[in-house]
Amino acid sequence: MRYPEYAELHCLSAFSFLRGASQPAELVRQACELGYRALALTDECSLAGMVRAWEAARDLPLELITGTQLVLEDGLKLVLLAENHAGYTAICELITMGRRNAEKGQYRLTREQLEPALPGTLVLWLPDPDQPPEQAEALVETGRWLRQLYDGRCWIAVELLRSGRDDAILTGLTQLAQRCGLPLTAAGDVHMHRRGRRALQDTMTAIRIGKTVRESGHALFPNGERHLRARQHLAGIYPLELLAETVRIAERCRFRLDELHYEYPEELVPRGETPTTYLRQLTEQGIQRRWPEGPTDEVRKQIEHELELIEEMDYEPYFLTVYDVVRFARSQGILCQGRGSAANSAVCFCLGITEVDPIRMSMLFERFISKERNEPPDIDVDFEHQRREEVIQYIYDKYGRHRAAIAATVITYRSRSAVREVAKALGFDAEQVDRLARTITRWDTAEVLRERLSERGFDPASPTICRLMTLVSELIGFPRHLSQHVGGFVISQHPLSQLVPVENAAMPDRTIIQWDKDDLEALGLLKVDCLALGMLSAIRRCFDLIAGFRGRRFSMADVPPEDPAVYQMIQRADTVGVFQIESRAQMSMLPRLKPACYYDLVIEVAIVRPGPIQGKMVHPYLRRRQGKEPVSYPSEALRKVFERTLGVPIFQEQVMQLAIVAAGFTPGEADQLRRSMAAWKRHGGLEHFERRIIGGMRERGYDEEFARRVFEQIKGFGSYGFPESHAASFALLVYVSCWLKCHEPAAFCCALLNSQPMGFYSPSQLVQDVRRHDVTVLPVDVTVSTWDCALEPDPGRPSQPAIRLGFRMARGMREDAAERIVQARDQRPFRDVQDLVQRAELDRRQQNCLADVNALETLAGHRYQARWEIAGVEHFPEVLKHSHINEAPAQLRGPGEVENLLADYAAQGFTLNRHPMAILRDKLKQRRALSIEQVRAAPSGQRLRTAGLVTLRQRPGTASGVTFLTLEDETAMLNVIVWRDLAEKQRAVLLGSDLMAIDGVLEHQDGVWHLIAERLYDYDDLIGELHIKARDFC
Amino acid sequence: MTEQWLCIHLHRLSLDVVVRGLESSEAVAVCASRGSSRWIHDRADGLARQGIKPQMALASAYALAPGMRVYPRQLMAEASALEQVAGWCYGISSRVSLFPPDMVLAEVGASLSLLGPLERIAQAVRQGLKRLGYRSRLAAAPSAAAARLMARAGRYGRITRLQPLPRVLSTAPIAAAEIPARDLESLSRMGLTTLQELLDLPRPGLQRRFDQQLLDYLDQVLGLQPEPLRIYQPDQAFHSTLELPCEVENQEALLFPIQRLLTELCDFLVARDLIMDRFHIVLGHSHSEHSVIPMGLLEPGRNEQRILELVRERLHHFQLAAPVRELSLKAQHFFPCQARCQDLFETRSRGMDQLPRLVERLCSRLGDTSVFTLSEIEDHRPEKAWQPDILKQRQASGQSSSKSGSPMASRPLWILDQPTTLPSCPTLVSGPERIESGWWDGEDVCRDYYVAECRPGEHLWVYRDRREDRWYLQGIFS
Repeated sequence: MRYPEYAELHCLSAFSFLRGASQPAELVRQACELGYRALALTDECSLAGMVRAWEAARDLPLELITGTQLVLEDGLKLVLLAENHAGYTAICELITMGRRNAEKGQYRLTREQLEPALPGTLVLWLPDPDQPPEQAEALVETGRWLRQLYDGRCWIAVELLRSGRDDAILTGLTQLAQRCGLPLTAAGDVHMHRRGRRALQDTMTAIRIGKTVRESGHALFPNGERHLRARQHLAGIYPLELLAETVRIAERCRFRLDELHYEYPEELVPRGETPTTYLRQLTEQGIQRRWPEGPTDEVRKQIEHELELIEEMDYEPYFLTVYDVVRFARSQGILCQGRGSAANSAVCFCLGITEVDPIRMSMLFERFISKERNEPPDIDVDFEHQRREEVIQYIYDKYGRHRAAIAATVITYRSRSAVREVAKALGFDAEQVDRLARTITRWDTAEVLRERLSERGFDPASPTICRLMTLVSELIGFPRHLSQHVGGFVISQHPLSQLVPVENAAMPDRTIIQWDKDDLEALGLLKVDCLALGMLSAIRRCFDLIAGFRGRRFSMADVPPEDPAVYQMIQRADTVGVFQIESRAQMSMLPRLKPACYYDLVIEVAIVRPGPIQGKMVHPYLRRRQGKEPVSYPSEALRKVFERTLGVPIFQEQVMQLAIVAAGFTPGEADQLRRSMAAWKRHGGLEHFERRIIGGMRERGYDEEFARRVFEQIKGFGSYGFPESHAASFALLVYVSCWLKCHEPAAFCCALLNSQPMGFYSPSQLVQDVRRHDVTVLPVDVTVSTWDCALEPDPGRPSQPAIRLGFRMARGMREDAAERIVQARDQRPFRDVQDLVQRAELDRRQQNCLADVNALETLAGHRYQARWEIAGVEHFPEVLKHSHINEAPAQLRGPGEVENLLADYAAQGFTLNRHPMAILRDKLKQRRALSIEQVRAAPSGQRLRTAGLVTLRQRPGTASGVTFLTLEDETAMLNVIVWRDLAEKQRAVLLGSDLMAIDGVLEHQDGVWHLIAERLYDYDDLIGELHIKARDFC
Repeated sequence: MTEQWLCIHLHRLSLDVVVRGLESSEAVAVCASRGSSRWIHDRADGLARQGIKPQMALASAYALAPGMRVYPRQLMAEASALEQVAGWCYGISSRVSLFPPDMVLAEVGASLSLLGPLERIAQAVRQGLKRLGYRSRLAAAPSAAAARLMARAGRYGRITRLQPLPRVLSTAPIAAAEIPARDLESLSRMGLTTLQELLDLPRPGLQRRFDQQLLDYLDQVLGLQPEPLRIYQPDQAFHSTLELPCEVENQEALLFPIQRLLTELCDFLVARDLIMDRFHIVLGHSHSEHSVIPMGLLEPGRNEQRILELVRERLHHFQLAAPVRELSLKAQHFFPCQARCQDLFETRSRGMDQLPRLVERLCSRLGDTSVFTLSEIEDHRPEKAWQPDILKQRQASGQSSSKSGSPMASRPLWILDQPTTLPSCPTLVSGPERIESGWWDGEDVCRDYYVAECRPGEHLWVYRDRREDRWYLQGIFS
């Protein structure tokens, strides 16, 4: 028997947040499976799931219709479907209007906005079947109003969901249809792709209304009928005519997302020029700047090749757009630098977007733009993190808010948030929810989870816990809400709202489009990434400080290249504070890899990351570099590809080159291979490359076994290969920051302190590090300090200035108060605390901040005395403001060393006096704990005990349960490795103590020290109330 | 003669009142809460050995001791325990003062000659309280404030004369003093930790920086200034008796004398700003044991008319065992009036005044456990959509029934507790109504409901279980 044809015209996905319980792709695949003719995705006032659905439907025999469900202010419920492009545009604009008029996450629309009729739009009306009879006339009125506006393209949708009143609903709506003269059609109010999502759908409802499932009662659907039902069943529920109507409606909807075309902004080209001529002109200027002696043939050839491809793909406006943004930043003195694949482009180098000479690096332009990919190039530019806002405002000003918006980021449920919300919905009490969320921080294997649950007193076999775990595993990965992308701008020639709905973001005056970066990429839309990079702020500040102190202005270009002193410092892992190679993992690799030139830094950046470490690429490279293993190449042709990485594949570009050189791929095809590599673990799809690679290699004389091995390597490589171009851009900043640290340690540290928060280390660690380099650090002082930390001459050391800590180091201090202090002080010095408070207009809180950080010492004596003084400050009226109070001096006891230490830590997070561990040293000796300096002097393999403040706790996902600790004492820092068994056994100590002692075995190799922990001790009793918070990454 | 104040510190009171009601005190902890955060307030010694400390967040405490049994702090019980201890102390002193949450002060100087030396009194106090189930520690000083300070500072000892007070207290931490938190913070920020350091500061300087209250307090501690204390009034029980002019055999005739006693009781409550939730009527007979009629109020109150109505209902159903000679009214469980007002704001609106009265009447006639309410529960499963509730319990737990929003298909009035199986598919009249719900409590149903007809005009509500493919009878339409 043949079942009737059907098209589902009313279907919500997970992008109707906490309503739809299936992902767009699941719905599309299921609709196709059931043999539906078409599926309309009609998320509520949103097209956020549309591109994903479109991608899933691209290769399936299922028509995908774009639509949206709306509930107007007066309760009128409609589904709008795009009949053609005009209809799509109208729907986008309507959604934009509704969303922009409401709070983030809400929308507000009225009937007026449907008048005059939206062009190219079909309307399904969903009358409330439970309307009381006395409102029947109002319903007819509404129906007539709709018919008058949308005659011939409006239907009443009949949704029969086995509520027990299906017959009554059908009769009622048939009568209504006759009275208003509107046709009927079937629809399914679909909320999930299969009935099996019922429990998840109920849970989402409970989360949405903030109750438990049990309490949700009739807010839950009575049954699971709101799924994509088999046509066989539909035939038994709906009159055939209603089903047939769905197909007729679907056939009218001809709009497909591929029709969207996007135009780059045009205003960047001066009169009389075309984008092509203007880009060439700018490039030629760049060539003169970059190669004053004239370009080599190779350079010229590369540039011509690029320009040709750019012209062919019509990408000139994109390059001009990015050029314009970068030019603006430069004109404002904002440091910026392109990163990512753009560094493969000589044109970008000429335009000043990137700083790496791609010809010198033998990189592949096709990694950046390829004909085969037919996707817009992606230029990411980093700006100083504290000044990026200026760039963003420039873009808004230049293109207007209707033409520029930030891409969305879809925030999805992670294990912790999913556990939290599902547990709440299932009725766990607040404390249990906490405990569960703490237990399940990541989605381990079922076995591990069971183990961890029973450890925390939950019975993993209990039905409630089973339900929880099932629902959580379903919910993970579901979208939760839209947020703004870190900096991806979409800029268009025409109003964006014709292309994609725009809505309000959480930040005031920010608007986002409803698509994320993958959606944009899939549709070929241009995105300019304006990212924020703290290190650029620090470098710019450092240049400013040097200019101020030495009277000599530096720029990135003035930093002398390949300075051996810099590399010596790097090889010692003396890299606290510098870019990228400062982390614990990086530092433990530097003394082994011993970078000695710029390209070594490129490799260092790329190789010391979770992927290559997991892929076991690090050690082959290390062994070859240390000469412990011979360097070999499978062929002379491949030597060129792998020579720079000693035969070990490290970069994505190398795999592309391998495919080109050894298997005869075109550069564009090679790029497709790279992209499939990144995705194959999730989607598969490497098979046809397998045949081509192995075939191609055999044709070129490689034996089959070798070819297979190469292919396997490529597969493994997929998840961690790093773009060389990206590493090259980052390595530049690594070198510059290292040079500054090496030659201007005071200015560099000062700049880092002023750029906080950023980087891997806390101000405390930065200050200790710079003091170990013999730089004097002076305390915050109300008679000298400014808001920022500053440099002042150091009488003890003529070559390096001293750092004067600024008011910004004092917790709770406000910048405006600091400015008033400086202004008042410039007029005349402060006489006493009364004078300070009065003239700088400091409120009680700011006074306390100053006393806490001991900035009043010069004026009032020690902290206690200072607090006594500020407590006695009188607020004189204007006429008496020069009065002076005479009172008998009070003699307060001065704080002891420990009291000062505690106060310093509380007020600024560190102390310039003795390190807490130095104060405790005698007690530590009694407990037989060695200092870290002594540890480092011990032979490798020795068992010993040491103790220190825990400044870092890190459990990288890659390291299979290993926890890394960093201990700090007055002499140095030490990395500690805690294996999983011990970590589980001593969890409380591991996570709970600030001051920890460790018995362990010392491992010392190539200038890297590690302590392998065997037993942990909580020494918090020694420090009492001193709370030193580690940077926890557990 | 100098005063001698004994400070009785019930230092584990919150734990003691909880443990008193339990079989075993093992692994018991008492928690306090604010908003959603909860922390350990006190814990049994066994837990202390496992590292559970006061102020510790409950979640972290659980991590250390998964078997811990946690009870919320019982503030009401603590307050009445303190009251009880004060009552007990009234036996040794006429000047007793309460210092919530955990201290009772008694002036024993005047009783010394009567009761013997202080040591003996202290001994008696300790043992007396131990019998009541409270742990205590004692401190004695010539001023009440000093005695409290000593107790708070953990210096349980004795000072008899004023003159050495400054010296003895000089090292007492000011953190233990009764100084407002804000001042205390300022003082500690100035590095002041002991009473001596505070006393050493120039007085005008202190006066300029702190409230007069602080200076007054210091003087009170040193006994230089008397401390205004609220002296405990022991007579907290009400007992009043009326001898009837003649023997009464008929309940109605008792009402009038009872009303007189009730007026007295209500005046007593108003004067002390108290309310009650129960009292006893005691009927004295000439020749037999007296009979007691316990009376309970649905919610604490002191409205004379309302209580009288209640008594009337109760008497109406009470069989007099013998003629009554004597009437008395006894009441001893009271609450401060404000406590009730707070309660009212939180859980009930005032509009419900009429219903409680009806319920009280019904309950007093039929007994508490005989009055039910039918409550509707929002649940798609028919057998879970209603439940009988014992009214008193339900009101106590503060539930309220909610109106259901969406209309449903027809439901019969008579729904079977347990659906019964049907041998075959009956004649179906209308349907189906599909219900799939309830997965969260393990009783997930997947059913198609129909209206079926067994005899003309008689309609049944039946369903087919979609998992078992069997038919059941769920209800009967009347």
